[in-house]
Amino acid sequence: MRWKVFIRQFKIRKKIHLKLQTQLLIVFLFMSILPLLFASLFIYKNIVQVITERSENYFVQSVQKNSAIIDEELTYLEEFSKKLNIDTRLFEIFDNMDITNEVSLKIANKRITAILNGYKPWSSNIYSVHLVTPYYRFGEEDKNFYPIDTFYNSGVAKAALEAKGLLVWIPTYSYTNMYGINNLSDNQIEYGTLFSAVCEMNICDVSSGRVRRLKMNFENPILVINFREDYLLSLLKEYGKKDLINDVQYMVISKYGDVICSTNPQYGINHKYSAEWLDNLPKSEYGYSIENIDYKKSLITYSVSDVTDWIVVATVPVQSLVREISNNIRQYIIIIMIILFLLSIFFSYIISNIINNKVYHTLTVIKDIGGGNIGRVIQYDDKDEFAFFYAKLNEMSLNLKNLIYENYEVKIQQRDFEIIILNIQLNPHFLYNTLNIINWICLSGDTDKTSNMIVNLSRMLQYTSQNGNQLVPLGDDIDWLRRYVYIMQMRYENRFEIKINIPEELLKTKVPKLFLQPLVENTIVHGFKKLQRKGILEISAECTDKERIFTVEDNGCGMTQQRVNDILKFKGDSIGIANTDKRIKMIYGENYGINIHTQLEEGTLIIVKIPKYC
Amino acid sequence: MKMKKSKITALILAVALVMSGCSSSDDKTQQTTDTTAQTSTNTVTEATTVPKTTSGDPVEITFTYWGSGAEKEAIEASIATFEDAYPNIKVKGMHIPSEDFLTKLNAMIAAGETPDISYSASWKCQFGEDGLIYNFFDLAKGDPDLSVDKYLDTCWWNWSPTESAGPIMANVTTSLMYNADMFKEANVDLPPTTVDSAWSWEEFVDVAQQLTIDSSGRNAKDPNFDSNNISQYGIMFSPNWNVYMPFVYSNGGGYLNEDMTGLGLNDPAAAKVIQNFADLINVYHVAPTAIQSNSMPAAATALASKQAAMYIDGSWNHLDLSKAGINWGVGVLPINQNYTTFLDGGSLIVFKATEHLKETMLLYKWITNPESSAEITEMFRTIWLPVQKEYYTDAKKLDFWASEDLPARPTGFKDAVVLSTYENQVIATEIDVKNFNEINTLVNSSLDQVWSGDKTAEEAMTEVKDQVDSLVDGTYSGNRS
Repeated sequence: MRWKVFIRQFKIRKKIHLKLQTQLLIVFLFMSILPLLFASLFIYKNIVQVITERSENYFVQSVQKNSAIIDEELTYLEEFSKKLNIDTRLFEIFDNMDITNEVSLKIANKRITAILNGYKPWSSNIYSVHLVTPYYRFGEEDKNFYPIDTFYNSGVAKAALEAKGLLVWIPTYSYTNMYGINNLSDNQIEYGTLFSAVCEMNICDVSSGRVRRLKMNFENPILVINFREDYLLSLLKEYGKKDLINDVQYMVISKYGDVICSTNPQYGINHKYSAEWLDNLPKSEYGYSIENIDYKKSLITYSVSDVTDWIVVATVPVQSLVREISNNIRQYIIIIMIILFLLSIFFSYIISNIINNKVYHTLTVIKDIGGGNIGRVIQYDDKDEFAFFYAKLNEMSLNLKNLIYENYEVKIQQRDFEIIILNIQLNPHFLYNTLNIINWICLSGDTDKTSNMIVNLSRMLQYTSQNGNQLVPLGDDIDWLRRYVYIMQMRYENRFEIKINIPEELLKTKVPKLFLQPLVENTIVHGFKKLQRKGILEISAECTDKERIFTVEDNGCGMTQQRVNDILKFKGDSIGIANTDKRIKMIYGENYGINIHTQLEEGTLIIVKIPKYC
Repeated sequence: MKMKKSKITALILAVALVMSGCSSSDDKTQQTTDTTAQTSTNTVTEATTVPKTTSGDPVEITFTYWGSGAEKEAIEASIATFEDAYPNIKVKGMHIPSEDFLTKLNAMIAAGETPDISYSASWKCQFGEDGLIYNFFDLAKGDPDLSVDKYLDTCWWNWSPTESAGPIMANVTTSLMYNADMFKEANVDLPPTTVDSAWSWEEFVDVAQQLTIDSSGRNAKDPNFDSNNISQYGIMFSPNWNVYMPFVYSNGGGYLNEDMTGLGLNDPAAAKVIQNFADLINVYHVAPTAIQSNSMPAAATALASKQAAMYIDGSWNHLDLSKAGINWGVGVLPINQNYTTFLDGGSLIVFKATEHLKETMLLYKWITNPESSAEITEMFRTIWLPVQKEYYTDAKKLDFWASEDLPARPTGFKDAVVLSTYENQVIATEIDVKNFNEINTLVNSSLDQVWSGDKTAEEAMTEVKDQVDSLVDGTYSGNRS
């Protein structure tokens, strides 16, 4: 389920468009923080290892000392039990005791209590000392009691009797369980959990120089020395206070793993401790082991007591050994991370700014191009990756310009020409005039002429109405021009004559349709308008290596230079010549076109230059 | 983390400010607390709730004491709070088991390591006569906190009419305790809690018989009762002077004879009482013999384990009983005529060897004030009874330590323990009788024969009288005890 959520989140995240600055920041953070984390993890692992090794020694010494302290507290009890065996006073008390007499027992008890107290050091932490016999318990009255019927079946008595005079240590036990007491619970009595040293007594008297042994009708008295569990615990706790770290758990266990006392409340007296190192542990042994306890790696050091055979065990979570260092490392990492974070923010800001500047600076140009100003060029001085990018962009801009020109402007112009040509075809003024002339000729009865006129006009209309190619064979165009001139001659009653001198080889070459008509019209309409003499219009052509040159020459009244300029720049009433010039330039390029040379009252020479083949 | 650190810093700063403030006005504080102490009668409380600082270098005082585990814990904790209140006084508390106490103390004195202040039993009067300890009357002079009038009249450990080892530090009294469940099971009425309704001895024996049960479930009144196989005793008692002396006094007897020249326990009035107790064991078989009780738990535990229904001994057992978590109660002693009892207890003695008398007296007041610290208060609510009069006369103050709402104070406690004692008290035997310790050792040994049934009380006491009489030297109060 969780991974689904993760993927969903990831998908959502994928949709987010990150700013360049953020992306840079993320990259920087990854680049800086990941290595930092790896490095510190590595360092931390190393430190943990080194410290754990060092601590092993420290804590081995610690448990040894602890064990020694406990030994010191307990070791005199061996001496105690031995001295008690050869105590002459004790021998005599038992020797003279009448066990059936209550008063005798009480008196004996008072004296025995005093003797036992005498052996107890003043600062002793013994809870109680008793000499237990099947008929009486000698020793302190107000402390614990021993139920007569169960005492000799208890673990305490059995251990003492088995050891035959040696002092035996009984690990912490529940008092009521040990003695089968069922009308009390351990927490109702202050001696609920005890550990004890027990010893079967062999009371004798050596004061006279020879050993007198006590003759007993019953079992030997058993010396029971009781300690409360809290006492050992307080020793451990007191010692633990001096430790470097405060979460060391101390524990005393028997060699069978029975917990005698533990600062860790988890290990009660019924707990059985088990570990590999616990098996076959000889006396005075010490050592360490590293184990996982409650999923925590812990250092366990142990030392075996000389006196009791018990083992002092210290358990230290490795984590707490290195807590300070790991805290320090964590702090350093956090500080470095913050610094790196700030640096990352700073640099990502700077770098994204630089990049943005490079981009935004040229953005106005791009906007401009987008706004229609195609062909603008980005000025970029650096020689970085952007330079190449912008060069390509410029190239694109120029190409775009050409493309647009070709696809857009040329088409517009073509339409313009078509309109112009259409204008020529359908010039109603021309038609009107021509038809008027035809009418007059017809009225005069010259049917041949009429017929000629009509044929010419119809041929003209037919030619012009042929849509299609811009370029037509020169011959066709000249043919059309002759018909036009014929009609114009009819109209102007042969006030001019026309000479057409075109080399044969040019007639098949292609020229812009009707390109000479505006020139001829201009000459006839304006050049010969006010002319007194007979006008001569000469149309000729020649061919050079590269170009074809057409000349339209007249002997008309000429033009002012002002008018020449007007004619060529779409000013005034005649736009035909300028249109033709524009068409030629558009078709063949700027190098070609129309030139006008004129002299007032003498005539005009119009030169049309177009390429040789096209 | 940061937050914590700044808080800690603030705390340290605040403490530093307070400390510097205190140290600069050290002498002033001392003076003002002294003057308030003179004007107010409730100063014990006030003086201790306001932390004082004493001027001068840090001093260490040694305090020797005995007591059970609970008492040791209370004293240790109380010392800690004392040290907190007086930072320049360090108290070295030494807990010595009571059976070794005098020996160890004498050893310390012999080695020149005399403590400054100590618990003490009846041997203190000899210490006083030997000039080892301060006369409390001298110490109390000019100190209204320790004014003699504030204390109960019966609780003074005086070794002469003008010389005193001081009042008892905390009282105990002789108390009848019982396991209420066992009364219910035997269908017997609970012991009365007022002096007026107290049982006569015969009624008491009758109840004890009903509560004594053999292994077959028969009680001691049953003709077939098997006194060799008793599983539940009606009564246990401590065979000591503190148990039988209230009965002796009430019966018109005394520890000493009329003219205080010899033992009085052999007189019929006293011997009868002791014989009555011995008969509980040997005639009625309602109390265990010494051998029987030797393998039984201590009486408070025996009540918990239902091995005994009633118990007569000192009130210090109340703590054990309340800790045992049983349904227990207290009644008045079975004395239906001339009810007489006493408050008793050790006292704190101040050794003349002390070099820090002022600081030692501060500790003296701290330990004896029921309200000085939570731990001491707890002791006065479980084991101890106060010594200051106001804790008996002022209803509020009485409730402070004796309220029956407190966990260790059973129903009827005020009547059965406090009132019955307060209204019928004489000076405790051990406080009044000179050479009590030596005399009582002899008496006790002799009484063993009475408890065992070998001799009658009168016989045993008459036998020991010759030995005892040479030790008898009257009483400190001058009146018969």
